[in-house]
Amino acid sequence: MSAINAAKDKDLHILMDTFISKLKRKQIHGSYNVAIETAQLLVKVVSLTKWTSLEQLISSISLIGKRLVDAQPRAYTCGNVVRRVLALIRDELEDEEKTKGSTTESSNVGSSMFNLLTPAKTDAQNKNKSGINDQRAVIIQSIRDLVDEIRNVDQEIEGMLDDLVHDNETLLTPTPSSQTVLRFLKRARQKRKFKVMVTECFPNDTAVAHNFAKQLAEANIETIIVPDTSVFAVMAGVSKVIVGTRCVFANGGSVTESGVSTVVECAREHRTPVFAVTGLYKLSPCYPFNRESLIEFGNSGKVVKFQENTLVENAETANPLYDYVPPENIDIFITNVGGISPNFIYRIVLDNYKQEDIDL
Amino acid sequence: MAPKSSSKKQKEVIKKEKLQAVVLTDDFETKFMPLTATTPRCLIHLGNVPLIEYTLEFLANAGANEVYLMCSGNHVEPIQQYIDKSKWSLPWSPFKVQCIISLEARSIGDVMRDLDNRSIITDDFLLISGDVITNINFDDALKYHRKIKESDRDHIVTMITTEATSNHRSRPFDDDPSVFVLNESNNKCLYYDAIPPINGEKSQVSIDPELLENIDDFVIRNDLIDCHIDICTPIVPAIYSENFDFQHMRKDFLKGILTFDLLKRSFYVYIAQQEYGARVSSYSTFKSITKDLIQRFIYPIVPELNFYNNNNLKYESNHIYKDKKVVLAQSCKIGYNTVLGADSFIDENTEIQRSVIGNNVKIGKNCSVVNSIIFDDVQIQDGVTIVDSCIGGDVVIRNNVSILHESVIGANCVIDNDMVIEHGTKIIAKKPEEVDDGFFSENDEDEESTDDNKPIIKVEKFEEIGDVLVVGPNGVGFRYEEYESDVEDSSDADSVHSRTETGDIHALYKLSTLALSDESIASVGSSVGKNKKKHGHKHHDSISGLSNKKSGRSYSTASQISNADGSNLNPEKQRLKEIEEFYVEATATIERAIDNNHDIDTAVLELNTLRMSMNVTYSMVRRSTLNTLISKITNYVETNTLKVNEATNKLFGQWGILFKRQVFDKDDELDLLDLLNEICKKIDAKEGDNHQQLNAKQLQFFIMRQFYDLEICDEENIIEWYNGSQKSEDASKKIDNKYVEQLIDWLQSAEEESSEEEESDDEEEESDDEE
Amino acid sequence: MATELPDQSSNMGEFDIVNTYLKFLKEDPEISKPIAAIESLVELIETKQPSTQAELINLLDIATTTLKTKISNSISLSAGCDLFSRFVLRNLPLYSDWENCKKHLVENGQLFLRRSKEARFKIAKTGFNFIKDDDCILIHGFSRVIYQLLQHAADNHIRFRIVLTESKPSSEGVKFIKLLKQRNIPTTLIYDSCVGYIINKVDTVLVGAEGVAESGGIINHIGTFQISLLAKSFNKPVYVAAESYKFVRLYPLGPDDLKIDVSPLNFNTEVSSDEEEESEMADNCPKLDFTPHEYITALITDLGVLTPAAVSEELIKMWYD
Repeated sequence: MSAINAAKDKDLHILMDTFISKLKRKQIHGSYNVAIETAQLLVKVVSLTKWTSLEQLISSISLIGKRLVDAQPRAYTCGNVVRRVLALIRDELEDEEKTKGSTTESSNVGSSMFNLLTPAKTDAQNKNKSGINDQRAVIIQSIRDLVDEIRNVDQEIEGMLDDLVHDNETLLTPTPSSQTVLRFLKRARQKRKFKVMVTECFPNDTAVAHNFAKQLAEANIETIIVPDTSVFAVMAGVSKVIVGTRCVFANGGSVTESGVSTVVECAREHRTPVFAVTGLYKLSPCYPFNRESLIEFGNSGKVVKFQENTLVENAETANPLYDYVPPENIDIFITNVGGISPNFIYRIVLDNYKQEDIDL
Repeated sequence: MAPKSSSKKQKEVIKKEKLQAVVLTDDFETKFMPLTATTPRCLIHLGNVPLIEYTLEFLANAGANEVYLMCSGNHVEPIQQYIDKSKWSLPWSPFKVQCIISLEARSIGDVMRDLDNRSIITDDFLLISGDVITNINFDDALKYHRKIKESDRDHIVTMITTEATSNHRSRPFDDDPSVFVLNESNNKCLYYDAIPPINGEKSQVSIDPELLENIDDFVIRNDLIDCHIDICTPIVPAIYSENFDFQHMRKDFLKGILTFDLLKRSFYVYIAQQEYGARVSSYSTFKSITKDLIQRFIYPIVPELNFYNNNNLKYESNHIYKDKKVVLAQSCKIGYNTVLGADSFIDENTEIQRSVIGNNVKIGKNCSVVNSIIFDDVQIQDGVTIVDSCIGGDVVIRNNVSILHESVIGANCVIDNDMVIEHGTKIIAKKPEEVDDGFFSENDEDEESTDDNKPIIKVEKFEEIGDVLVVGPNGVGFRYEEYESDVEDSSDADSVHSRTETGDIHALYKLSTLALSDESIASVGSSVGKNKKKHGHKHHDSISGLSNKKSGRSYSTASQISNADGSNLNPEKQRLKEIEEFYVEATATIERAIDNNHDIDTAVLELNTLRMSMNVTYSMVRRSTLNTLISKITNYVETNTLKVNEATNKLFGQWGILFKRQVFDKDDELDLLDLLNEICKKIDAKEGDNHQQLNAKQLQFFIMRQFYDLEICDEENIIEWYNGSQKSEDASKKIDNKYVEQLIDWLQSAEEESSEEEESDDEEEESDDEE
Repeated sequence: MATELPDQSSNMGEFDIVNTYLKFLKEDPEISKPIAAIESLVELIETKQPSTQAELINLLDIATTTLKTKISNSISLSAGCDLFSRFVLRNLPLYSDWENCKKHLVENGQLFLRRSKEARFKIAKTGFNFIKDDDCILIHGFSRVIYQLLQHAADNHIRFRIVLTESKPSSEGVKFIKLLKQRNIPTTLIYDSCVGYIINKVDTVLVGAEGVAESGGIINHIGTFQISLLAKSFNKPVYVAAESYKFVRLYPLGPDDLKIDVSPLNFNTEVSSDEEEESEMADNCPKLDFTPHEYITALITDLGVLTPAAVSEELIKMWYD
């Protein structure tokens, strides 16, 4: 019995360490993949660890989450998924307590001010084994549902977009690396005829931009590649700007690929509407305290070639990979739960996450 | 990466192809002294991460399954302990790591031979140096290797390189800035040479035209950084075993096989495009790679990746990295390109720019640290300036010290108040050996510092470079000397005519290291007896234990040796140096012959070879022979073994014949006598207080008599010489020796007699001594 | 009720709510006004021992009205009182047993006091994340919450510098600077009118709040509105540190909606001495102003960091169900 436990522990360690190393070495590309793999890891954690009460499970998952977030603080979807799972478990816990009929005030949905006036919750008692297995199954199922939700994000977003794009419009997108945007455009083409401008995203995503344009062309959409510097000049002819995001924070601000910030400022100047497409799993309950720390800096060799010895010796180069877009610059977020104004993001966050989990 | 067996069950899925990796942790050079006195080279921290971690991280990314660390020398223990404690020994480490100890190894070749003996290698393996930092995608390189293997059956090694430019800062200027001559179509390596930097004057590579036969287009690449990552076939260790004198990977193995080998084995070069790879081989590459790392040219290997578990660096704009619990005073300024280790404390008004600060470092007020690397646990007090330097671990630097460019303070040193550490100084806490060679007189005994905690007060005996002058009255540390080519090569300290102008210390210090290092003993002989030497090539191997590579004794006047700061010696100085070297060599040769009782012919042969190879005149040969013999005699006399005449007779009796092969005509004889005179006068002039010191005048007499007896010098010539000297205006030639005068008188009388007797044959009249 | 006030107060002869309130304030200088108000209300229940629910409610009503009228210009005070009344009204129906109910109310009241004292600490813990290394922060008015936040940041060895406005007419800046300098925080004092001059050189603006309106706007020391306007113009974030019990059910659309009985626009042509002019100014000018939610970047509360839009959410949760 203990051997099996030890083996399970070791397996778990292997899983954890492998995943953390992959995160650190950035071998998992894209927020989507990170989210899926985190969820799968959590499924295994829930099934492999020994826990006798939900509180125990919550604390161990919190610990794991903290490790993951420390390993790669800028893989935001990882932390988001962990917090979603924790919220699911806490919901389970609440349901349990409701059925047991303990304190009554706690059934209020997050009346947090009133929490000041209510006594602390009593700890749930230990359940028997079969109860735990049931819970385990329930939780695993909910995590699997979460994975399904993540997988279907694109499809749900596509569905909403028919009303957003009209014939003979020119759309501009500064994030060619977003799969969501690509699928959306392809789907929209089936009903409408429009033009798309793609910015080049030099120096990090130029190849991606070209590939994106090619794929759009293959879908029979008229595509124009635009250098990053001439966005303001062409903005007058653009009717809508569509932006893909990496992460959206509780205040409505978002982290996107670099270059987007400039594009949305140009759009604002021209009063052009800006749509951001994002999945629910990209919504983070955290507040972006320090905007500079959100941005990852990449390979300086892309800005100044490593071979140019004089420049390398004497000039400092920085290559920011991300941009922070403040909430005022986005008009609406299109998510798989509907269209949300940036002001309202906090509400969605409250619905899906629990206050206690924000600081893992 | 974990093997794919990361499923819930304990199944072990055996990969079809197991990738083995061999890590060379030691390259048997002393470039990083004095830092390597306390830590093994591969555990030196770059950006607060031990060098070996970068290599192991690369191996993990590359998918290695078994990693063998080849350790040797006295650094085996620390490396083993480190690996045992690290995350690579945990059961969920991506590969199995094992330390292989080769205690007897003195070079990379020895290590490879040891590897061959153990028969560990089963398939293509990765051979990598322990101090490589890279972000290349290994899979591509491996694919390339496999593709080449299919097309070329003789392929044995793929060398991985990255592109830079010829002058790039990350190219190792002072060591191996290799030039590859490649076949343009398939990057097959046709020739290899290591040339000095562009600033040096040699800018030519000599290639045997045979190598270029049948090649359409070849390209000479002087812009590659050799990453020292090789994908080798299993036959490689066997090749090292076959060729017993292969010591170095590139200079011997690569070059040797390319130029000499009959079997036509081939090497290919894989040039990683747009990726970074470099090896830390010397201080200059250490510094430039640190800069590359901090400036994020090696993305995704960046300091805040924290793959070394002890670190928790966070990135702030302007390339500033801060670890946990860094405490900064309000007025201190942190410039860009800086790394601050955990628990560091920087006090008021201090400026830190473009530097790496290790963990637990305390820096006082009003300091300035620019472009430097400070390792862990260092304490720096107020008012200190550090520029362009390396400060080792656990060092204490007191108030108002200035440490100027390119200095290295080894671990555990203490620099006292108000000291100025000059440009290029290296300070080591303990002297490398505590051998009592007998050169240390009694006064010096109590200065041996074995306890670093006690302040050492040096006595004046070790003056000029004494530690009081270097580290201050309460400091700990000795100057560490490297054997730069601009420092005079000392002759043996036995010689009374010490050629070191820098005082006894040098000779003593160097000699003591000479005594311990195998290379040095081999070097003297090898330089004479080596037949493999091709004309015009340098031999770095010989003195490798002591000196920088570039200061290898060069016998070819076509090449230039440059100093540490890259300046060149002019031809005259060059020549003088060569002559100096010759003297040393010749002396050593003769001594050896005497000590080991070689036969005359051997000795003569050796001397001749030496003479011809170094292109010196017979006069110099004579001088050195004479010097040697005289010094031997001196030795006998001073140690009270023999009296002057006995000593002379003994030695000259046996070895005087050497002169016969060196003196051919009258001029030579005169020259010989002049030399003898000069030498004896010098001895005479030296007023030693050793009353055992021999009487130079007597010596001259005895030797001259020997010359006469052995028929080396004709009596006529001796007389002529004497007269000529007395009459000459040159005061130094005048002979003031009553013994010699007597000899001359006797000779003259003998001559008259013999001339009266119409030159009979018996000139062998030995007259008994007059006094 | 208002007309009966004098009689009622004489009825509660043994218990003077206002004096109790002031007593609490004096005893613990760290305490904030709403807490003192709630403490005194709790003590009221304890002392008075009402025997029926109706009596309790009545008691509370009278007490809160007294406090509100007697202590002028205290938005936070009324916020606290309202909160407590609401709490009582909500929980009364949950207890069948009267004695139990009273006991619980008193207990919970004390619990509330404990928790609210922790509120400042929670705010400090969340808020110090806003301070980056080497930041320059502009602060207007004295707030104990802000002070605790800055202390927490200094304890964590973050380097920052403070620019304090004088905050006339209360001159709170002058008192504040002493406290900060004692804590070894580099601080400088400027005129209120200097803010435009230096606004470009500061990184963030931090203020406390007397009350937080339903729209997310804040009521604070006079001058806050001006500074926020400047900050917005120069793209500097404005953060407000306020405990959650300061949220009030007010929705002011402009400064007049604050119901402060002063009228600064008192035009006349009478010439008087300098002192008289100044004292007239002091009488007529308001001590508080209202900053609309558009100029506020975020509120740091013990419930976390809230955007102005989220404030109404919290209030709705409490008051409407």
